[in-house]
Amino acid sequence: MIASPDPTRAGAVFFALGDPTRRELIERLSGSDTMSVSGLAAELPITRQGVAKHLGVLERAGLVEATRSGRESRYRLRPEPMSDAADWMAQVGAQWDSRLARLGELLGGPTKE
Amino acid sequence: MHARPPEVSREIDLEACPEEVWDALTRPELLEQWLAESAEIEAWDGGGVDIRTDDGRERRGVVEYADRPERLVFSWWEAIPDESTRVEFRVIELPGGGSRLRVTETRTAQPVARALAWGDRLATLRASLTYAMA
Repeated sequence: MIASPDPTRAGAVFFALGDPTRRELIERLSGSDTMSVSGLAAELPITRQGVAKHLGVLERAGLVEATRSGRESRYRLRPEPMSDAADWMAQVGAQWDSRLARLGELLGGPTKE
Repeated sequence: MHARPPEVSREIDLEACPEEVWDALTRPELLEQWLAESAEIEAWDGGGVDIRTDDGRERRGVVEYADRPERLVFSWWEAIPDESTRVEFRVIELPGGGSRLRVTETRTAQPVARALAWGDRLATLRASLTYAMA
């Protein structure tokens, strides 16, 4: 039995992952322990402000965590919410699989993926 | 930006014609054979959804769109103040006879309150139309 994931969080996660720049940021962050805004901006063709804005979206979705280190914030990847959203899809998908299998018995027809 | 809400989509090909599939989506005695232990879906805009699943959980919802026999859309939720999700059934007639049913459930990030308000608006609209035609 899969525990029901937090629905609001999953929506925010999918929104956050819908943008290519944010996916790029996640990829960079997955390659190191923590990174600063300026460090990320140096690797990507966007401004510090742009990076900060995208990191804000990722932070609200729970995908990154900020820690202050001296005068700058450093960001760390938190991958857990990604599996939370995947859990929702797996759970709902499994429910429809079994419902449609029963409907197929009722109305004739094999289940199609 | 292409932020898409999470969704799950499934398809099944059935020997039944679209009208028969529609009946299975909307008649309680048929819904109870595949969707849930007890199920009522009022197949009109603003109609109610009342489902009790096999494990005793209850879901309520509101029909947003019903176009027999092709398209049925409703939002449902397990408990207020949960977020509602949106379910869309599409029934397509197959050239060789039979039907294809596609179901898509989307996590809309729409609070239940907004889904309910949508149902209320439709009910009000329906009532005023009925009144206007009387």
